[in-house]
Amino acid sequence: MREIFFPKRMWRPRGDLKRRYDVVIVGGGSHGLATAYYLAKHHGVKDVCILERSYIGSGASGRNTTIIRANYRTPEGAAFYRESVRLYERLSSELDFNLMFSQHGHLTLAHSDRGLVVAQERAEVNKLLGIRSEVIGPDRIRELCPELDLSDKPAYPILGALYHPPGGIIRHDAVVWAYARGADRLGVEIHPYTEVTGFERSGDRIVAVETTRGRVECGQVVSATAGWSSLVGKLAGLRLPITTHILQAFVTEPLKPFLDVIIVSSQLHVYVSQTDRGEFLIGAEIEPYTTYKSTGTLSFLEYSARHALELFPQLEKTKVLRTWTGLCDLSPDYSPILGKTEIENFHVSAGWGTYGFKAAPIVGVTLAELVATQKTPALIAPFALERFYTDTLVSELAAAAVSH
Amino acid sequence: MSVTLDFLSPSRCDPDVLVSPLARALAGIDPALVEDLSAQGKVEIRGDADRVEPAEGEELIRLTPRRAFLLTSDPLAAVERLRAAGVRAYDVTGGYAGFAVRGERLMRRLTDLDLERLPAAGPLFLRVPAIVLRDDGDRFRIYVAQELGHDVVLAVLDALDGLQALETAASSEGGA
Amino acid sequence: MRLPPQPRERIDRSQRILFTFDGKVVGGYAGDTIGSALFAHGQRIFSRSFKYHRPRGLLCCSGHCPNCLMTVDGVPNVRVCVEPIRDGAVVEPQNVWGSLERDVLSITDKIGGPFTPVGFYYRTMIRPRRLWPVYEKVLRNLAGLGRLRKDGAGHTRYDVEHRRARVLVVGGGEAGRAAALAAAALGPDVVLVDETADLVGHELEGVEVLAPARALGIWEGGLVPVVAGSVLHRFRAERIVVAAGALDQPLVFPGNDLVGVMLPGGVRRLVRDFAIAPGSRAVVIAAGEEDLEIAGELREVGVAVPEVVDLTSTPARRIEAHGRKGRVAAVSVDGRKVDCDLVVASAGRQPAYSLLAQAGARVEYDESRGIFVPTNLPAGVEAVGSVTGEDCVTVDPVRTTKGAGGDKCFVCVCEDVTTKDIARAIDEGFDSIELAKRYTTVTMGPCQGKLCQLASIRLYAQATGVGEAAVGTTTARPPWAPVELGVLAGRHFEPARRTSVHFRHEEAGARMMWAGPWKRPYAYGERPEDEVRAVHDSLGVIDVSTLGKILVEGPEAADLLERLYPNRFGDLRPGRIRYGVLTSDAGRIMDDGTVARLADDLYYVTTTSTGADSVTAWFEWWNAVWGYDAEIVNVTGALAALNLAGPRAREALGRLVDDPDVVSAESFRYLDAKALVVAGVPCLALRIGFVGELGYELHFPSPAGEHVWDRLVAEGARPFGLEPQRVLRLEKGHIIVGQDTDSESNLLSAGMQWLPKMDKDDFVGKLALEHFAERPERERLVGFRMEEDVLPVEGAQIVVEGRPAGRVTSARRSEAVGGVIGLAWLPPDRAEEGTRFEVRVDRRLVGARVAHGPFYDPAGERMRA
Repeated sequence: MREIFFPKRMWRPRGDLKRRYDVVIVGGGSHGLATAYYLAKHHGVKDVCILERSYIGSGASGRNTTIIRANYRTPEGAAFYRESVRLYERLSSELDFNLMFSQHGHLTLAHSDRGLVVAQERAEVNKLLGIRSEVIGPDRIRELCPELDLSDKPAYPILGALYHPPGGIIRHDAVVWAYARGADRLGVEIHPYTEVTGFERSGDRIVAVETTRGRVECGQVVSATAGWSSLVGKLAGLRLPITTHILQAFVTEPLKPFLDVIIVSSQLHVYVSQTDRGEFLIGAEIEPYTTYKSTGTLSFLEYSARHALELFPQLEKTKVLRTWTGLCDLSPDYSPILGKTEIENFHVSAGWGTYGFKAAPIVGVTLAELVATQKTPALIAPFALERFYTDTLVSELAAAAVSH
Repeated sequence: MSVTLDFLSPSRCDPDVLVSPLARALAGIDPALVEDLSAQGKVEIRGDADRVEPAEGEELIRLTPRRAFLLTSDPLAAVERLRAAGVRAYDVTGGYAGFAVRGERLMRRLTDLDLERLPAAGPLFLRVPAIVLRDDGDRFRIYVAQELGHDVVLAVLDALDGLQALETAASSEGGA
Repeated sequence: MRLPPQPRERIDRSQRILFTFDGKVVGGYAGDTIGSALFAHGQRIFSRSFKYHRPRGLLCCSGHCPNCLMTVDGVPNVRVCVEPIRDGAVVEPQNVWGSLERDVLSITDKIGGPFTPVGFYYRTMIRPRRLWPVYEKVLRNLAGLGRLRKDGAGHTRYDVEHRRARVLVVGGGEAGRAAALAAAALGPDVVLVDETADLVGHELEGVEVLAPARALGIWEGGLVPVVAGSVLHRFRAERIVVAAGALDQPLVFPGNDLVGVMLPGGVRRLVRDFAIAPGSRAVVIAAGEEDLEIAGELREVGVAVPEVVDLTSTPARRIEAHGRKGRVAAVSVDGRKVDCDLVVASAGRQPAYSLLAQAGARVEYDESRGIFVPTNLPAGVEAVGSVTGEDCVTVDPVRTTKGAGGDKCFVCVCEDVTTKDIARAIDEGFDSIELAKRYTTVTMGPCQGKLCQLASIRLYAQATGVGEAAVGTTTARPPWAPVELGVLAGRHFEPARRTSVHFRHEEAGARMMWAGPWKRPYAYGERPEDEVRAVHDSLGVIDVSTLGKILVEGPEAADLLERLYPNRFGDLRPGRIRYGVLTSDAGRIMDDGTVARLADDLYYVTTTSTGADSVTAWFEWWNAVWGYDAEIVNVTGALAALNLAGPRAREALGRLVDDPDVVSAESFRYLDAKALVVAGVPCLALRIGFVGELGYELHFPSPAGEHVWDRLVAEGARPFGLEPQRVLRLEKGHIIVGQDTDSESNLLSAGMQWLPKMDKDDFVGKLALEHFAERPERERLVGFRMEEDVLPVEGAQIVVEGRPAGRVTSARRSEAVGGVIGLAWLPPDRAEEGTRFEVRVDRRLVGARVAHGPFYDPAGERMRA
């Protein structure tokens, strides 16, 4: 509150790079910044620098759907995201920055009985793990979202939904800025516009990171680079089973409150929410082809508009203002790749597909613990890179078909 | 005991028992607007299409170097003739709904295909796969999977409706 | 009040048109926009601003700025300055608490300033957390512009037109018209798109004029969508000429948003097109020759212009507008106050480069002229006229911000972002233009940055001292003009696949449901169990035309299938059928179905209802890799398929064939494939037992679907739907791929260890299966019976020590078996016959026991009968 009247810098201006840091974090997005913050806060590890090739939050952190939820399909995934939601709920207060986390509820619609079965399975897993989640019918959906077209007029009538009351939306940029401020105030150095160009290896260890602003020696390295994970991994000599796809979204002109809950439809491959600014935020599933090219497509706009109107015909005259794309790093089983790798001091947070932002706080907490203690926390053990060698996959596929 | 591919051919049935996939959608519609061509014989050809000589009244449409589509009034004879010549041919008459419409403007509302470069095949007619041909003038024939035919033709009728509404508006403006 | 007729006016004074505004009747002329008619009627305040609820009036008159957003016929956020007038339209102001003239919320402008600086919402309302929903509700209601009608269903008919053009010219100004005419002289197919109505009715030889219409962007392959009314024209053009012109840039000075401060283009349009004098006493603050002309034009129509300032020829000055009740009353220029009711203020013109930038052009800053110009145009895209920077120059739009410091100084009128806000953002560390955009929301409003991007960049450059070129622009994101969702969506068309028997099901009262891309009957009445009983006791028929059906023919067809499937098909005799499961390279179950060998070189493969296309593609892909001499022909739609099942099936079928002996138990055995003529229709008959009773699956030409169906029903077969079929197959313990298995399931864990022939040389997935066999099993698919008559949902969890340890994939109540049966994935150590486990049903744990093998007719005597 005080800062309203006495503006204070959020973070120090970028300084010179030191010769060495205990921990070098590649990627100044929500994961990298959160990891730095918890390293300093929980473990007193403050000799940390974050290398970001553009501005902070310029990648997936600033381009995602801003949806936070925990209603995953696998017990491993659900338990992990449950902790993330808990952390998010306290985060505004912890970081003293209003992240505008609005838990109005999240509805995943089912338009076929197959869809209902998937919803039931998720609900059952969730309930067992103490996550509020249930399958509801059209009457209850109407109470929660009277604006939705629940008639039999749409091509895919709505049969039911997975209702997840704690699901909500958050101001994504604010999460980035708040973590950046928190980390900066604890002594972490943030270096925007500093691109990593290579790693210097000695056997199974990384000894230094090469950047566009010179060479930095390091104790440990964390790569949290989302869409660029496989490229950064390659620089370090690490192969990651990741493909990169684009995800597109658009916003409309602002309107007065119309829709409180978040509506997701797997069958229509579309999600719709309304931000606090009044814009409708509408997006689709990731594009099926792999690319780094961030130009969007017209067919995406057409497809998403068509499907959004299936749900909300009232929006037909609502105008699209701007579209954008983000890069998604997809793993084969739609679960993240988190933690240690075969390079002793090189740790990754990758393979997030479209659900990385939802995990930022818990990734920060667990990865910081791993870096500080060299022990993998139990919560993230199932997500180790090793699982692709032992074939112990954690299949989120059912939940991930439009996973926002 | 071997089984032949006779079970593919509607021509082996009494024509009275056959129902067009477009029968319900086009009931009461003037054939001058949309004409049902579903009953026409269609043969899918695999292999070297250069060896195929279309007979009188037949049309051969190449889909890929190894795949062609033959429109014929007598699919049984066509299959027999082609098979005898060593070409793999399949009577797929029942697999496609076919219809004819008139007008470039209408077609532009239905397909992204270049109307100057027909015939063509692809998933570009109302976003479903189709084979599209152009006759002399502005008559077009379209063949789509029979299971999609009903909905596709309803959309064609809707597009026609939209254009007629336009024309009516234009003529009344002209009159005023 | 209108001026005397103007030479180029667009209004038709003989045609009066009436509409209502805020409940009062307002008149205008044909050719007016709602905005021009309102202005002529005397309306000056058109809206209230986003944050401070300051009064706003017409500014650009070209559909770019947010100042004239109103609700028209229930549709919010309509730019009335370009919305054609129409009889009976209902026009209402929006985002107003009270009236346009007296808006209660304008209090935020007076006292809110110090409490609501940029990003104030990030710093406040944090504790206590439970109050945030209350604050949020208030914030949400304050934000947003128009209000959407909740019941307003879509009635507009939208459509798309796929167009081709040799040359597509975007922009109908002088340069655009010249380019179009030049192109037309060289050949046909030239189209000119213009967003104004200026060219309506104009003849350009050899050029098709599409107006008013807006190009939304330039996508790959020369794809340019153009909106004209409710039709989206999807142009594919060989050459695209962008003549989008330039945009008047607002000058940033205290009070620059007051009603009566306008851009020269807007003033010119009011005078020229609508014969309206925008004021009676005007001050012109110009940035160059073109702007200066406006002074003369105003004087010509009787507007007094006591003061003209040309910023290009005079040094920086202090400029400040003074308002009275939100409307401009005077302007101070270097302390000299001039009374006026109109201020034409311009910082010059900036090329409208967005379309080009979005197409891939680079945008560079031209220091000498103070503009951003597009360079490095992508292939096939050209630019002509002002958009190239020709005749464009801006004075620093922010050099006048010093002012006298009185009123607010707006950089962005959409979002109410002031110079103070930008300065503060920089002080707080948001020191890149992208960060600042996200923090202050400058350029994120309805004008899409058209009127605020240049000013915000220059302000940034000055404050951070890095220069405009280094600050750079923010990414140009399509669409170039706001576009209705309905236009993008086009026609409402979501086709369903319908079998050739579809309408018989509807006529019989079936409840139709989606099954993958198909519509199928769930059941024909409220009691699916009756349909189950009919199949067990007598006779039923189900439409299975949705099954994928693939012919594989050729001398090497057997080799191809041997290698695609884990089990054997080379030794299958013609006329016989075998069950097959396809596995991926990773050993995962992909699809299943029956494979019948029709002849030595001919197989007939069926797939699941959703698998036809993907299995065909899978076969074709591998065949291309291996190069076998075999054709793969997808005949799914060509054939209808009906499954006649029940103890009376043979007898009924016997009556429909010429010689009942051909279907006798001896001549037509279980798993035989046979050619039959049923009711005069040639059929491939497959004797299989998916539903557990004596059954014949008849495959025959689709057009005969209704005929054969009718004859089977006439023979006493009761139609049964998907739901009864699910009960029947579960009684037999048959799995459904995709329901009982998921993307990670393999044959070994799914209880089909017997299926893969590991001694085969090779098949797709063999290596992976060998790996699975070596590793400890994680889970296994087994049948189970509930101990109580309690039906778990599909997806119910099996609980071991309070933790999820497995899941139910199928469960049904079966009369024939007498109890609740199902399939479930369990930990291997709990998968033995008879092992007890607990399932969570409605918050309690219910016992169940593992039961291997079919629940119904375990020896299979009924289906083999």
